Amino acid sequence: MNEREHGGPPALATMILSRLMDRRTAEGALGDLEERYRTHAAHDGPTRARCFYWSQVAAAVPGAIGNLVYWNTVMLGNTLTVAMRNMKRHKVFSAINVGGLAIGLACCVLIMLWVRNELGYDRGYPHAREIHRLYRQFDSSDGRRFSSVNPAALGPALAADYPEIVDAVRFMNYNWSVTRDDQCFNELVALADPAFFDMFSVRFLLGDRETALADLPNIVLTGETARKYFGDEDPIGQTVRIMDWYDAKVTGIIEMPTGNTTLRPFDAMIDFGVHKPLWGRDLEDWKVGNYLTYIRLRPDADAHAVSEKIAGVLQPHFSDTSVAVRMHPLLKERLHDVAGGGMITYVYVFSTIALLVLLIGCFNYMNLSTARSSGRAVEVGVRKVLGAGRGQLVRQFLSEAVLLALLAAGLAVGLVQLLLPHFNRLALKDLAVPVDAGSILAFTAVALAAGLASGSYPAFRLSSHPPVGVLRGVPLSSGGKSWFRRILVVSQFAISIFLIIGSLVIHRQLDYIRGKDLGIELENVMVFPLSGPVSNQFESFRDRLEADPTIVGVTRVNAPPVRRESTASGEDVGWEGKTAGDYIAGFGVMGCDPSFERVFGLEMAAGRFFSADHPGDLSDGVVLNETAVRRMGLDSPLGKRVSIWDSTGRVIGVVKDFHVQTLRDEIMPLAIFPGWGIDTVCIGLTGEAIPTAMSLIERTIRDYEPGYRLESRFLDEMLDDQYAPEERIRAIVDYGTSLAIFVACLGLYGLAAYTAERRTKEIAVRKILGASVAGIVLLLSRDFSRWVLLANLIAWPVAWYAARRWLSGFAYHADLSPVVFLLAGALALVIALLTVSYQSCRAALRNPADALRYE
Amino acid sequence: MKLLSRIEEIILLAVWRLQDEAYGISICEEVARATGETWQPGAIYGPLSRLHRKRLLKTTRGEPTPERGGRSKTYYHLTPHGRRALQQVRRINARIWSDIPVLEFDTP
Repeated sequence: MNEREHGGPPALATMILSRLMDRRTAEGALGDLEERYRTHAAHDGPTRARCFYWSQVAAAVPGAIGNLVYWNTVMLGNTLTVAMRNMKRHKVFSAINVGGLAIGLACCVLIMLWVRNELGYDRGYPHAREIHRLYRQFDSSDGRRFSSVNPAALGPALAADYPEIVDAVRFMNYNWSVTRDDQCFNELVALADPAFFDMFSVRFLLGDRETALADLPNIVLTGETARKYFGDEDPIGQTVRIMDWYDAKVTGIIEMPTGNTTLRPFDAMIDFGVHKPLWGRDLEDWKVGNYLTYIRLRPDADAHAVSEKIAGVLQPHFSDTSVAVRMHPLLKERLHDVAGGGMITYVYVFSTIALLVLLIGCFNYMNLSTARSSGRAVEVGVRKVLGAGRGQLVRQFLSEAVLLALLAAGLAVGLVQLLLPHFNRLALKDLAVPVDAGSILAFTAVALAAGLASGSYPAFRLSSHPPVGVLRGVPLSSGGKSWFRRILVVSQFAISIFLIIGSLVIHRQLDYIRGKDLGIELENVMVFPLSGPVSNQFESFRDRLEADPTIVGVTRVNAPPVRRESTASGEDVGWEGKTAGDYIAGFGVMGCDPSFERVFGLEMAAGRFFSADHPGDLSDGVVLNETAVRRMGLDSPLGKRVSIWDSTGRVIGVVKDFHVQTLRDEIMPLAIFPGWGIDTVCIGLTGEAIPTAMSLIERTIRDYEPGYRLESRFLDEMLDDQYAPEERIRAIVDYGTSLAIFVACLGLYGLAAYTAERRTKEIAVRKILGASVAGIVLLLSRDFSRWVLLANLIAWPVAWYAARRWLSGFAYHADLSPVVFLLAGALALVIALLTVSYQSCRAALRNPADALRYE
Repeated sequence: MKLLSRIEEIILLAVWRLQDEAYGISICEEVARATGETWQPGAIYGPLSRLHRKRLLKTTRGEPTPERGGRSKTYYHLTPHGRRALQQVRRINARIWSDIPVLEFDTP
């Protein structure tokens, strides 16, 4: 109605008033008010009248709100009382509901903590958003390959040529021995450009950030390292010896910003320029990639535009391959690989598992409360007869569910506190329960959502009972809509079976990796970096150790052969007979002593390994692996000349393929040069009396270098470390799966208990008529087994797809055998039957007279 | 029977006095006239509906009129029950006032 035309009161105010009023008096009262309004309007004008009208609205509001609050409180109180009574009466069901939800919520909290931790990497750096790491992307007919290391000239050139780029830092860390007086430790020494300090917001505890790395022989230590060497002394101006190369002067003590980081760890830092005097590296070089490079953009720079601009800067230096510079944001380093994929997958996988467990918990609640709806039917009927609307009933049952969810949330907090230390060990994290408002709010929200979600269906079901039938005593068929419950149980088990298959596949894959012959003997081989005095007299050191019966052999390598340190790209590799079309994207390079073959138990496919008996081998020999020979297309490789970078040699032998990386990656072509960059010692032990052998080694080194402390590792351990991510995933998935099954079984147990209870009389009659106990157990179990079998059919295709995706990330993977699927299905069935059988047996063994006594 | 409250008594009397013309506004005005105080228009609906619930008043609907926005008036009438209640109050009032010593009223 248009108020101006009719001169009536404001429509909005009228609407509010009619809402606030008792429906019975509204007509008369509103009419009166309007009449008064018009009288006012006629006497004092419409503005006064409107004021009057609105003041009436204002006067009505407080009372109305008071009423609302009062009655809702009363109703809520009633709801709580009823809910509590119900929970007390049905302890098992309540325990199942609360327990299942609590486990689901606890899972969610743990996983959310983990996810939050993973997402928090590198966020401690104030400039994190502006920092990008550079990768090189090689595209060739041989496929696409990413290289994480860049040529030395790239960073400085970018910083100089592009105004959007504030700084570039080249970074590399090495494991070197650092000596002060008689103290010698292996330290991770980073070689980086001084711009590092600004880019990563390093704090200087002592020393001057501008000049700390101004001179090449300067060194900056972290606070912890400084304490180790100097205790309470003032470290500034002191000297430490780097390997046996030179004395470095300590010019600063630094502290990195706190928080998790993807930056490689380091204990000390030296100017990047040291590469040149130390090893004669050409720092203007555009071709050989050796160094990690970080750039920092101006805050207002458009990262996308910059990345397009700099993509092509390396291309002029490469003629026969396509190379692009790729910028990868620092904040994505942890979870996203530059090639796509990465840890983010596991963030999704774990979150999904946690949600699935919670979902199963919610399903339990839906299932059990609807199954038992007949028990509440009378209550619903009475409430309806007394005038409760459907909405009120829905609200009542929802509040019940939410109450339960809040109870579960309280329990979940306790569970999390209990499980967190264990979870931390499992995930190799240092998580703590956060107590800030945001987290608590988020947790409460999740709990409320879980309560509402699980309460929604039962609320609508329960409130739909027609009151007349119930109150007249017509038995209520709770089986009427049991298809919904069946769907719930089937999906619970489908989820469980899916997770069982997942964890079985992970187990098989890891066992496969562990069991696969690597082609190289890594057990009982210890490794440590070579320090100065020993490397000078290595031959005598080696001979003395090899004389001992517990030592198989002593050899030097460029890097522990569980990871490949050096990779050459297509153009760096040349060989006799190479044609223009031959391009090999990645070519591993390794250096070692002749004793390498003996220590690592390598097998030769052709020719021989380096041998001291053929002095020519050591000056002009190279050994390839089978993959290299195949990829280079050499029919008779022996005697062919091969060159990589500035190393060259004639092929004297071909070694059978062996793995130097995890089985995630395919075996690369590999060339082994004698004596190339060998600064790491590997000592093969027989495996007997290892402590004796190790103390012998330490004593022997001390003869050359007094005060030496042996810090060594075993190669098989180092290999295990490389599989640590998979191991952690295995453990977490295992636990998630177990919990999911446990919660699903809780629900099944409740449902079985309910079914058995409902059919008490039927069972008693059957028994009297001669049914056997076995027959009755079968009768009660048959339904459930059918559901589980159906769940299998749903879970299998989904699991098959997911497992294939995961396995395809491994170059070498176990086949996806149907046994896994059958096993998972059988396992779920057995678990389900065991759960149900307790109730079935109890029902079947009961004396029928007890059940029928009152009939 | 429970005694009427003062406000109920006043409103019932107003309705009785107004006879067939007792509806929201007129009652409110009558009450204001009788007590000498201005009343918020909303203030009488609570007691009115309470009296209605107690069956002391009954309502009838008038014709919808335009000045009321097309709504009809709700007229209130005393039920026999209501009449008895007034009579009772009147008797009680007479009794409690009758045997009181002469009050010296303070002049304000």
